[in-house]
Amino acid sequence: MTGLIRTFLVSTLLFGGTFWMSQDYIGYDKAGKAYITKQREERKSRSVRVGSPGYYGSRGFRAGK
Amino acid sequence: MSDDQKELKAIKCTACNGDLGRSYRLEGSGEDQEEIPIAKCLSCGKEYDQHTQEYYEFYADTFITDLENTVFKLGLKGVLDGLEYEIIGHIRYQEEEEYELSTWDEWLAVSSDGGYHWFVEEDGEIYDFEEYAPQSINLELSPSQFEFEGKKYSRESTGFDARIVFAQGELSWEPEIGEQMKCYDFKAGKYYYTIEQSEDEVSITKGKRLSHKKVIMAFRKDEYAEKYENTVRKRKVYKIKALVYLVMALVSMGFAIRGCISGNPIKDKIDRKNVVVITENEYKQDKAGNYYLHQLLYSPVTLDKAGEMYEVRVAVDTVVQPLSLEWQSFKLLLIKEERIAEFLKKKQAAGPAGRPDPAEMKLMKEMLDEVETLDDPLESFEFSGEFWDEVGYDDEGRWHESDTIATKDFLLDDPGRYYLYLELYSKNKRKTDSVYISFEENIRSARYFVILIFVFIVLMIINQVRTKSYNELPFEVATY
Repeated sequence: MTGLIRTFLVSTLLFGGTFWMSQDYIGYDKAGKAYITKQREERKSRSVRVGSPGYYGSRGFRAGK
Repeated sequence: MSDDQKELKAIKCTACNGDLGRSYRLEGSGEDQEEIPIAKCLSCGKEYDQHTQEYYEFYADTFITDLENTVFKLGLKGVLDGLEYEIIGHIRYQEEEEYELSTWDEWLAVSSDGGYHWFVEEDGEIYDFEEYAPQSINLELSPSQFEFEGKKYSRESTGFDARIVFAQGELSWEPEIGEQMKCYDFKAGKYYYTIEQSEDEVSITKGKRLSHKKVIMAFRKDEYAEKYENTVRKRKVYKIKALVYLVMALVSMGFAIRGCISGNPIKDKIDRKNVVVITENEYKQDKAGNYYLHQLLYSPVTLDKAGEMYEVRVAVDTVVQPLSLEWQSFKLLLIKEERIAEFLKKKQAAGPAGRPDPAEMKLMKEMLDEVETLDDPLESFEFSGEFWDEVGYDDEGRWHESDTIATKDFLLDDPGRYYLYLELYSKNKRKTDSVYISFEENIRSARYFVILIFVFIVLMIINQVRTKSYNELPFEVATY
């Protein structure tokens, strides 16, 4: 019986945790004020040179096929 | 091991009377290659595989390593369905086609009514067989079939070769180790039938399956009744657990599907024709390479649901211009209407409302060229990606693949009207309206439920396996 209770508990916790993460959109990109705040912090801590490869994002350009 | 068996190990080569030793033969090739155990003459090299009697004599001890792990024992007594039984004989068979252990045990029992029974233990099942005289039988019907009580049976699907690998007690004949016989096992109605055909004899038996509970209660109640009950109880618990995890996996799947099909287009239409073209196919050459640049500013769209998830899609409109053996990268910025106005005010210019005049355009281009270098970010979201179309050749011949759609989900915490600023970098010149942007709102998350489905399925499989593998008894129990 203890095993069954543990199963129900594990199921509930797993499902509850997943439901909470989904409802609160945990791990998804933010747009708006949260994005601006994060970018402001990042830009303070690094210097971005115009025209550098970083300008085009982390992926850079394809070399072409 | 008995003295008789020790003597059996000292068998000699039939060709040169030399001693036999353990060896193996390689069969198959590549990943399927297997080492097949054989006995080999140490003098002349003659090989004895599982199709020879000498093989079973030589490897006799390997077939009886689990001899203690059986339900029945010689001399065991018990009462089954009102009849008293005593186990008087035992034969163990090995399937000839298998060089790995594939045995079953047949126990000869005499009952209080004077009859003889064969209790068969095989793969965790127990059967009770009795000698049977069929109404009709024709084993020579055809090379592929035989007839039994008016029905035809396939030799291939019912037949197999067996070898005796162990015998003890009182039996109706003196079996030899390695003795071969042809067996046909089949089921007709609710009964199981076995035809055992040796060189000079055919034996037919008819039987039914016995539950382990019935056999344990009849023969080994004191030793195993409690362990059997525990095993059954635990297996039932594992079964319920597996069922719970299955239900949870299905519920998670429902939520995942709901997330995947969620979302509806936003009210504002993005007008591809009414776009401010800041730069069109401007050739660039810098450290990143050579490319053509587009800078486009789309009219604002209203994203008015705070705390909701949106999906933005950027895609190549292949109807306007196909993407053919080339690449195109993009960067999309969402810039709030007020922030552009604020920024232009700081630059002492007019706001961007309406179509900008050449002076405003120049100012706007300067502003957007340096948008990512501003200490105070102008944009509220960035999404970048790339499209490509490639061909190539591999083992399966020519392939052609492309990726012309990119999507991203984002959570909006600041509703309002947003300009869409799109930069496009391409290998070749491209049409301005060959890329389109669209938004969907009311998107529900599916990704975590997809992971959860796999977690629950793994838990279900583990528990399902335990419903069969959990066992406190020393012998295998398949059904109960």
